[in-house]
Amino acid sequence: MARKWIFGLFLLTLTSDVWASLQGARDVYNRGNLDSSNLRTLIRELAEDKYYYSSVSFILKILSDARAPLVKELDDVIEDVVARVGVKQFEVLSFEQLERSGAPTIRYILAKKYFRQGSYDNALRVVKEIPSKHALYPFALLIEGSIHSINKNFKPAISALKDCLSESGSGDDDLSKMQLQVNHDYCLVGLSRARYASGEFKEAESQYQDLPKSSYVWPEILFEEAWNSYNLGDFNRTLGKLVTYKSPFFENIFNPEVDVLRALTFYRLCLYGDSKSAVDEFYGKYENDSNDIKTYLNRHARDYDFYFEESRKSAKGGVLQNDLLTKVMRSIVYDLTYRELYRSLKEAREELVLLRNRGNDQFIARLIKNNVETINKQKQIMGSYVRRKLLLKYAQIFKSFEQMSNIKLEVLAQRKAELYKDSNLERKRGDIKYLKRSEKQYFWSFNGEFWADELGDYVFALASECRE
Amino acid sequence: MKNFLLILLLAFLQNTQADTEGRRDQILTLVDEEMTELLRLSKQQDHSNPSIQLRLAELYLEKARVIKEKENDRFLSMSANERNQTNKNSIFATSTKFFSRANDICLGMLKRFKNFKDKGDVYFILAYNAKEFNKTDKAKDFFSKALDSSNKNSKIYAKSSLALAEIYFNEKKYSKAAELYEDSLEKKRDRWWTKDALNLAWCYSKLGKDDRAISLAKEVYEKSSSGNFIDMRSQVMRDIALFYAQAEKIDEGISFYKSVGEDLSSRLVKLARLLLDEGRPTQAEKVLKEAKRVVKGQAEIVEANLILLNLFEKYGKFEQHINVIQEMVELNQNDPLESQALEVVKFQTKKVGAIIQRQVVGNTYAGTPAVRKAKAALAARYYDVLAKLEGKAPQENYFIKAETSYSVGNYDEALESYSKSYEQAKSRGDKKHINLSLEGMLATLAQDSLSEKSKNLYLAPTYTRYLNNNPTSNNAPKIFQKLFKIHLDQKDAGKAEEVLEQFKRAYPQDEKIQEAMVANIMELHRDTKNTAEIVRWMKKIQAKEYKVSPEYAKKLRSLALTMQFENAEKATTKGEKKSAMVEYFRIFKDPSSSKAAQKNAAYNIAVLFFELNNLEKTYEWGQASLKFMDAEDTKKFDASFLAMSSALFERRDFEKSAKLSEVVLEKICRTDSVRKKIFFKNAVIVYLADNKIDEAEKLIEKAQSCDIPASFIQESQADILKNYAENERWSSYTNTLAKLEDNPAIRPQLIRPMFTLRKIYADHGDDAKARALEARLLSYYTEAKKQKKEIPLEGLDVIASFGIISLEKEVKKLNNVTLAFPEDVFNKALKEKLQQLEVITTRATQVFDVGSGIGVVKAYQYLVESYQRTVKEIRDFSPEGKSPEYVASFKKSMEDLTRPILAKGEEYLKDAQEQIEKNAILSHDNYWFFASTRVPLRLEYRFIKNGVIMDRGGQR
Repeated sequence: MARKWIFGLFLLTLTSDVWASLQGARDVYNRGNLDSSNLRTLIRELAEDKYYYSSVSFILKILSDARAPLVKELDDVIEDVVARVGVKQFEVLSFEQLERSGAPTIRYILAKKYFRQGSYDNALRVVKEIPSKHALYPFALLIEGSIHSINKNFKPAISALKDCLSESGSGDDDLSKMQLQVNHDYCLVGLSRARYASGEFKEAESQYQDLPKSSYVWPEILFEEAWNSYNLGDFNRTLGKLVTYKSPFFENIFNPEVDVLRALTFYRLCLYGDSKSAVDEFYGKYENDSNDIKTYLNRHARDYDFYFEESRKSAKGGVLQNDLLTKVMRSIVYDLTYRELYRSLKEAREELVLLRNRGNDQFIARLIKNNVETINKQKQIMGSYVRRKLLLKYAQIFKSFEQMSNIKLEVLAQRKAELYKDSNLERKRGDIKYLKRSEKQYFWSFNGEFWADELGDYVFALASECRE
Repeated sequence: MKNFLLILLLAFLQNTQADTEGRRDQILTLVDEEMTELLRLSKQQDHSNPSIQLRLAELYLEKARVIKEKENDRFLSMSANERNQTNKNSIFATSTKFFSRANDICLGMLKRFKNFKDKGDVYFILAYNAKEFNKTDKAKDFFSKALDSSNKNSKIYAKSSLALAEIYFNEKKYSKAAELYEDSLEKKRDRWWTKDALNLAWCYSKLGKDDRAISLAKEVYEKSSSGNFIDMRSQVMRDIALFYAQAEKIDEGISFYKSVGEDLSSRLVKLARLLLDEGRPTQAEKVLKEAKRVVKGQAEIVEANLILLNLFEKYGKFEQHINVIQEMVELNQNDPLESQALEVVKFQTKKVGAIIQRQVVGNTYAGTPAVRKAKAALAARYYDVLAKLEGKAPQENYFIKAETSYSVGNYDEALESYSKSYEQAKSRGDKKHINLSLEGMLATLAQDSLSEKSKNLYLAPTYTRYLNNNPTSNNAPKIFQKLFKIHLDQKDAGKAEEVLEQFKRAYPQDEKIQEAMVANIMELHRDTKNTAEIVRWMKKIQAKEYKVSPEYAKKLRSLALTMQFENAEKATTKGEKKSAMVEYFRIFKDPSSSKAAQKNAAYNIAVLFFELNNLEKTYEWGQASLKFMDAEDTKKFDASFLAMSSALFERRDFEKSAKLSEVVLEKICRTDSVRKKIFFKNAVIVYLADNKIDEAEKLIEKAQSCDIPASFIQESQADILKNYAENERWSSYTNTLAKLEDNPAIRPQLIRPMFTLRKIYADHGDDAKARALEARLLSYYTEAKKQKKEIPLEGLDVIASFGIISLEKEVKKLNNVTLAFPEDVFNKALKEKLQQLEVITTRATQVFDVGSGIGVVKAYQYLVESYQRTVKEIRDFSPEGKSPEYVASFKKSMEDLTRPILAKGEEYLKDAQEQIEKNAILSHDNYWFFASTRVPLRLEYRFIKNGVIMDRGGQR
């Protein structure tokens, strides 16, 4: 079903009667009494005139002051604002403040906040209150499916995610189309993940293959596919999927666990030399730089502006402190979330420009102030996001080092064990008979050159050197 | 060739060594690499990760172990001399350094990371190190801590369990070891599983869980075959035999060995030797026992037994030792053992027998009598065997056996062994042991605690043996008596008699003991009611075969008699007359019965027949008994005989009655029996009743010499007079009467006979003699009256009859006076009649005074008749020709006049009736007084002589 993206309708309205709305807002503002009723009118007027970012402060105020559920009219307005600005601006509100509103949008924000906090029961409770006709319903279904998956309730998870697939139709504009497509793809991946989590690797594999390579999420999901193959004992396919990350198309993807999985897969094939090489290579590449990242993060602590600036620098192709950091930052700025955040920032800035052209009165000044606050907050949000991602990546790297070391230690241990057993193995490599294919996969031998349409379909042909 | 092979072998060994060395170096290189990697990892985490520290410690431990192996090889490759000169610590310095390093890291970790989740691993390393340095207690402590600190499903838990299990296993704490092995083997399935599992199987074996041991060992065997585990098959083959043996499932074991192509039985004896060498006698014993069960040849069994003998001897298992000895003796009997084996058996028997015998007689077990007793029993078994094994002098072994048993109070066994010793000694003419064993037996028999069974079994034979060997020893008389008593107690009169006979031969003059023995034998016979034997003994005594006192001889006779009659008397007492009779008959007919017995029997038979009312038989047996009786006997039973003769008389068997009385009288004639006069009188009466006057006369004649009182004789003579009269033998009558008249005392009784004779004389017209007789009889009456002597009734009747005759004359006179008128005639006649009534009354009174009933009645009759008749005559008289008034007046005055006369007459009538009833007067005239209607006929019942005798049923 094609879902009408509600705020799209307002956009149409806004273009037809711009002045009226901003003027209406000014009139209300100028009354001098910004009680909740006036505030509601003011917000509505601003939103109608697409001054979303300028309205954020007012919305936050009304939400924080509200002692009773919002009227439906306001809820619809907020929904439009959130769709544009994003939820993060509103997540600054406390749970208590958010819980006061029964508006589906606020419920959605609250659900996400609970979700991030790990309070899944509350998240589920809240998300279920979002009506199926609501524009945020497909997104709510993704949250619901994810929660069930996390709680290992795979049956309802799959049910929610399947609903999500059918509900995530096409949007009215590019943004909403993209948002719904991404949502759709995450739900699709969610289904695979649910299968994976329930140990149904064969089904998961099939499900993963439903995700088109053109999907925004595919590059990061390829790694999951590799794990799925690994769990299916299809180590050659794992290696094939992992080698895809070496393709120039994945230049902006940084996932240290890809290397870990490769080393591990070699280990599982008892190709201890290859495994050890993978480990050593990883250490060689990142050991020193990772230490620098640690210093870098420690040094800049919570300086979100700095991280924002660094991210922008990276987004513009700039080189950071070291190669690893550059690679990591690039992977962050190219991820969907960052791009969404940045889109909002950009829009806010555009709105600011627009405001400055709308006069110089107190009202406009207030709107400008609001807008600047929102922009600054957005930057903080982005800086925070970047830092969090950096930390996450660092942790990943750190963990990968550990894992790599452990793999190496295991390799050494196995070698030792062989010595203790006094065994002598003949080595076999690259034999086609070790390949396992499903009907959705095609065999491509990796010849060191990547082609976009081959990505993810490479398969190695290494024989296990494990003892029978 | 040999050298070539040696060179080849050396080359191979060198190569192998080089390989090992190379591998160790490679391992060390890898360990170093691991360490480097770990250090890198640790550094990344600021050395704050205890897991890495732990891993590091493990690697140090591993490195230390590998290096120690190298050091060890080096140390072992040194010559002994070189080894002695080398400081061992310096050789192992490097490994020790790394062990210590591992230890230090662990100890540091315990301090630094108190809550480390894998603390168990840390303790494991510490424990391992401690174990490496032989600090077992410390190792145990750390392993235990490792267990406490680790997850039960963790590897380290399993490893610690195994390590600890191994320690406990080596410490022989199998229960603890098994628990730990079970726990860890369940979780851990590495290639060493087979080795540990076999240890667990051993634990099971040690804990007596043989089935589990077998099952697990089999699993170890199977897994060892797979190649994935350490190959423990040869160890299993070695050990499982023991498990099967212990489980007593040798058959299953054989099957198992067969299934893997081996033969178990050949292994068992070897296994036993091995176990014995290892100091595991219990298992060795078990295996040998099982081996014996499955091996086929005697040689193998003997081999097993010889090991067992050594084993049992060594470990003091003498019970089993003797069992094996006995088994060997049996084997030897079936198929002689090789001399060497036999010698071993003998040697073992002697040795252990002597050991136990010493234990028994020594003080070791003085305080534990039960143990001592058991030991003695055991020793006894040894000497039993020795006695069988040693053909020359078994009596000695039996004697030792007996002495051993005696020393602990096992008197029953002692006795049996003494007895065997005696028998063997006797058959070999060994006097020493004959006497020793006899003394032993006597001493044993004197013990109170000796069982009754043994006493019964041995007492008599022992005494007999003793007396056969020592008949006149000091102890002999006592033993004779004891032996005699045994037989007596056993109621064996025959054997008692034999003892008496033997005693008589040894002590012919000992009257006292002989008599006592005889008396006891007699008592025995008396108890068993063996009368024949008593009679036999009575004859022996009479024949003076044994010396007894006369008193006893007499007593014995009495006893014999008593016993003879015992049954009969008992039957009599019970009222079983028939049984009694049969018994008396038997005694009477028995030729062995004495005269006295026959006499008593006959008498009793007579009595019984008498009681049965069979008078004919009573008479027969009475006579029979009287034949055996002397005067005194007869006098004793004269009352019975009197009863019998009386009964015979009553049955009118006068002859038998009289004869019996006469025979009795003859027997008691000279005695002072009070009854002889009765017998006499009865006999006379009966003879007379039977009209046998001659017999009566003879009897009367005999009576003179039997001191029968004269009165009795005279009475009889008086009685005989009646018979003379009845038989009209008047001459004898007259003579007898004349003789009797000579005795004044008897004269009152002669009144009647004299009256009879007077009548005869009168009838024959000899009035003079008749009157003379009358005069004498009246004088005898008068005299008797005067002297107040008793006069027989019949005599009184005679006297009264004379008064009646006089009375009848007076009555006639009365009747002759006739009444007639006129008045004066009438008055005179009336007067005369009344006077005559007076006379009659006087005369009647005179008759009354005589005292004869018949006379009294007759006199009353005349008196009453006279009064009544007189009244009737007066009242019936009516003066003719007189006026009715006159007549009426006359009659009235006559009635008044006669009323007192009539009353008097009535009074006499009543007197008469009273007198008749009061004095029971029997008279033919009685009817006259009692008949309601006077009839003119005088009816009288006449008794028929020899009337019909009716029996009780009224039948003829």
